[in-house]
Amino acid sequence: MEDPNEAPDTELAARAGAGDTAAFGALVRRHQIAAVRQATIISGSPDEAPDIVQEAFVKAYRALGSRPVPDKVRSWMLRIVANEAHNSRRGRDRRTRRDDRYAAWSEFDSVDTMTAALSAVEAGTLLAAIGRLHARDREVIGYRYFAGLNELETAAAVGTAIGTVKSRTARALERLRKDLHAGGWSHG
Amino acid sequence: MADTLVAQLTALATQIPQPEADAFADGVLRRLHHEMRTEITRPGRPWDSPRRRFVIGLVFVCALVAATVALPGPRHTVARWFGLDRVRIERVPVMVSAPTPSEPATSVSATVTDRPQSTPPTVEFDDRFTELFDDLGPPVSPAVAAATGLPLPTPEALGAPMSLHVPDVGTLIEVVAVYAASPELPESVVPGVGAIVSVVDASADATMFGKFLGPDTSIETLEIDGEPAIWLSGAPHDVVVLVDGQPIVDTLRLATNTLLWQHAGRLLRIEATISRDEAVRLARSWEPTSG
Repeated sequence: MEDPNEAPDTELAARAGAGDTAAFGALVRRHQIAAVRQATIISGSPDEAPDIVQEAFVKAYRALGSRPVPDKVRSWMLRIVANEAHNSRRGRDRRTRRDDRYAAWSEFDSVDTMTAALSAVEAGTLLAAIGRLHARDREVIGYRYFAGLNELETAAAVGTAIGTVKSRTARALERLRKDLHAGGWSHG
Repeated sequence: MADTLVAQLTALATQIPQPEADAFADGVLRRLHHEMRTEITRPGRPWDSPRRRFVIGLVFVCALVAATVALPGPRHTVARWFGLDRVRIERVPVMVSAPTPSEPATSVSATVTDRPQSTPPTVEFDDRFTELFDDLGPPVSPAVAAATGLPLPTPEALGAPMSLHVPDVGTLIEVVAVYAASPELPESVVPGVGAIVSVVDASADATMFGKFLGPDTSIETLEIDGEPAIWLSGAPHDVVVLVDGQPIVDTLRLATNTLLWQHAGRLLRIEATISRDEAVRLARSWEPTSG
């Protein structure tokens, strides 16, 4: 059998749907970084993101056994992650203000300020601004710039046309830019 | 600045903490193996997941049978309701996270008088609405809402809404109208909001509404002008939307008394702390003409 690490997503998904957990494991390894990033951006919780992704991937595996292989496996998996992240955020203590959750990101322990493009303070400021975006804006920003999907893949994930992705992304960036300027963001 | 901002976003992406790759993947596979073993010993529970209480409610097939038996009223009406539209009702022992209504539903007997359509209440969309709009999406114009092809969920007897929304929930097309609290519409758990009225295409294939009822919620089947309806009152209940099989628990809406009416191929939902008869009167004033 072909090395799972060399096989295309659709083949791995087909094998996973037939019960090949090793093939699904290869899919997990291939997309987990993007998935954790997307879960973090949408949920506002880097601590919970790995659990969110795990839950989503388990659901994805189950779904593969009862549906045709998606054309764009990565987009499909990340959409499940996004849904799970939305659920997680909604299910959290509703009295917790979103801004507070995202503001806490400025305390990232793992940020290597020697190599990172942004300092921890800058990262926290930018993340807080992302946290203030509307959920749909945050989602498309997450797909495009955190999960690394191109416009076609993002359109598949969102379930909309590429033109809508373009306009929605542009509007989200504009809103983010205005928010950062209003807060005195002087970078860029 | 756009390019710089994009560069900053992509740089930031690299700073998000990541679990160790192999350990994470192994964890997913261990869980899959564990659940597969569990299912062998407990067949028939494919969605069992203790970490997600609401998933318990997704055993819709069982729910259909149980609800049909449990519901009062003519059985043929219940069966027709569940056989035609996208709504499933299930009683669950514990609610997910439903808020407490501002007033006990059974104590309210509000009368909504006819109000002019042309003058929506002047409401400042301040921080009170942040969470609500986070779910519903930003307010849209009537033209944008009408572009969905759905009739606006604006019963004439309710007057003009303070805002219209087209929530983005995947393949579901829905239009939502938010009405300000008033002496006739008691304020809900969302400050300033008295009622939420929504409409979806009841023939939509990809999405299913579920209403999860706690033990203290009463349910009554109705017929309004010969079409099936359900009246939910009492304790709060959750609304669940399934998108591609993924449950999205919709707890941000009012979770108060709710009338669901399948009318003219649409599903109208009125959430407000009002009496059943008043909700029916409001529903009857709705004209489901497209756009």
